[in-house]
Amino acid sequence: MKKLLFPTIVIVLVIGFWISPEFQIIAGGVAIFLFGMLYLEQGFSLFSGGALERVLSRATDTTWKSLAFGIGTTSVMQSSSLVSVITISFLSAELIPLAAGIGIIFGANIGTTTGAWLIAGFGLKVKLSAYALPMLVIAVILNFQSSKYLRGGGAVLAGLGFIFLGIHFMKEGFADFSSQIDLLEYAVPGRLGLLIFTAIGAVATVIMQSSHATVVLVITALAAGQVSYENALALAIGANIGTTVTAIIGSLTANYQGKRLAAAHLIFNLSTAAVALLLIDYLRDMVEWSSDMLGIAATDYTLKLAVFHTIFNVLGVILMTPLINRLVHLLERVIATPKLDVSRPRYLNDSVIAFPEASLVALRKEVLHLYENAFEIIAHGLNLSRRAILTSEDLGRTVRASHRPIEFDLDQRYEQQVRHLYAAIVEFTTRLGDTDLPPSVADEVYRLRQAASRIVECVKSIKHLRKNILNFTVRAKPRAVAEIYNDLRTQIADLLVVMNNLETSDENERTLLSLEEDRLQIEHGRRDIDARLDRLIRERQIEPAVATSFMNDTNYAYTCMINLIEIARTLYREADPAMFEVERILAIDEDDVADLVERDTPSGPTPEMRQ
Amino acid sequence: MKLRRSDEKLNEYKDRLKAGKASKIKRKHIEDLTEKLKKKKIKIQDQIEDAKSAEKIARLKRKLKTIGEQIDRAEWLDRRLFKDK
Repeated sequence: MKKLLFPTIVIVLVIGFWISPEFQIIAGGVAIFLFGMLYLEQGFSLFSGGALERVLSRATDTTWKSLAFGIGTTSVMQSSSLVSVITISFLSAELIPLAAGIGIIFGANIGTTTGAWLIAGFGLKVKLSAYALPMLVIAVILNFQSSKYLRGGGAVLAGLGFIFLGIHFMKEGFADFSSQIDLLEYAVPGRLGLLIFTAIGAVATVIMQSSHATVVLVITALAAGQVSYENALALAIGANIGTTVTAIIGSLTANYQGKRLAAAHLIFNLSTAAVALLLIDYLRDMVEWSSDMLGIAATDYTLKLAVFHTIFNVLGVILMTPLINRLVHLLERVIATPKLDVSRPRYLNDSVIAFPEASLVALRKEVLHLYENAFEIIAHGLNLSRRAILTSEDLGRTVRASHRPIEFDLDQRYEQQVRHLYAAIVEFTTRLGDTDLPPSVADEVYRLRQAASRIVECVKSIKHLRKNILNFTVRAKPRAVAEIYNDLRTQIADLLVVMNNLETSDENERTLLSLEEDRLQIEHGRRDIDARLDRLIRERQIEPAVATSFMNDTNYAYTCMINLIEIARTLYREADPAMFEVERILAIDEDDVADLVERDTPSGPTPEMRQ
Repeated sequence: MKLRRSDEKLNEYKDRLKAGKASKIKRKHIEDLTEKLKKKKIKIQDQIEDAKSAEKIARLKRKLKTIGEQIDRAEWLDRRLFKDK
């Protein structure tokens, strides 16, 4: 179907160009208009270094706020498609709930009607082409600047310039066209005509990928007397159906939430169109009444079309908003949450990569997902269950009591739950690095990638430890060595609890300075175990050759522990940049660790930490 | 106990602030952090009262000591940034 669509469009266009020079001008105008839309979208993407995303997530926490947000942003950006694509990316990154996303899409449907008002009330009366050319000149100059924001401004200006130029050519084309052919002759009266023109409006919007372009085309055709007022109304209804295709295409690369949103968009626009077609006579009366109130002349059909466009979208929002929660339940049933495959990335997808802040949120969640997968492997590798670690009142005792080996293939689990996910994170961060990221975002991306690498390193350390852990878990002999391994297991499990506490703690009460004592504890533990191993060798309880194997294991264990501390420092770092600066100045460095441990153990052999 | 690199890190921060690469620390930030640490201190004191094993009590006491030092360091930073001027 997709393969046939492209050649069909090209053939129709070529035939059209050959038959009618006016068609060339109209089609050229539409192309320039769409080109302008692309520039506008590109320009707004360059501005999305954080502010756009931050505002979005804060301004959509209630249905009414998300509706207002959809209206506002679409009115400013003049592109409901851009707003819907951004909303899908936010849903995919789980920045906003589905209900808020639906609210934005509903609002965007009202916001997009401002375009009809601008074009009907302003565009056809003022010679827009006079503004287009100076705008394009300034846009090109801005485009050569090094500042990302100036280039973004240039792209937005170029977009507007091309849109104005496109409208100018469409007007010219229809003016010439109207002198030769009268589309009114082909108009079909009655309900059948309404249905046919609704379908034409939908198809035209699917082809042009812009309801805005269709409405502009309808308004210019209406102004040139090429379509009847009634059929123009049907074309506008059809445009609303056709515009959902953009969101559907956008959702193809999104997760199940994005697909639910695209489905909500389609349901909303189809329902609104059905109601509008059923109540067309009442709506027309309402348009007449509203136009009288607004002082619109009885023969000014272009402005009346703008009134109609607004009324039927507002009506749709009024009818559908109380049903948002039911719609959410329906969509959750029809498009079920997929059974989570732990080996695949849950949050990283193409739809978020254009938006740095959303990418950062998605990346952080994915690293947490990787950590969750690693937690299980680390816990089982230590011969402990996740539940036992997180519910234990006394970890030392829990560890000593766990004699039965947990049977699992660590290599296979690593392949399934860690390696592929880590590869996806590396690929995503590399692709992100190729985009023009603000320095603060680029730094955070680097830190998160490092954290992912540390998680992998930690799992590999446990893999090395596993053999001796199994040996000394099942048969606790020689006892002194078994105690060393139990202490190592306890200390790693203790840090898994610390990580869990950070995840579940209130963000306002969390400070990474609390990890300082855990870091010092690691160093105390390390010195203690080194001293115990020394004593065992001196007392000839173990052979030096065997002791080196234990020393290697100790290194693996402490590498994993230090990695866990660094992972926590990255994943739970202070969000407020000034507060982060305070913590950075006050936090201990690796140089300080030795000083502080020396101070706490001034003389003599290090006491054994855990018996 | 003041840390070995505290002054160095403070000077680094001031340089980055001048270059527009750091967010300005306000007194409120240090107060908020001190408040968090004091709350944590009270929580640990309660945990010590409830703890039964000597090992756990020893660990909690070390935590308490570290938090006390962190509060001292926060006060030092407050003096260096605001009171010494």
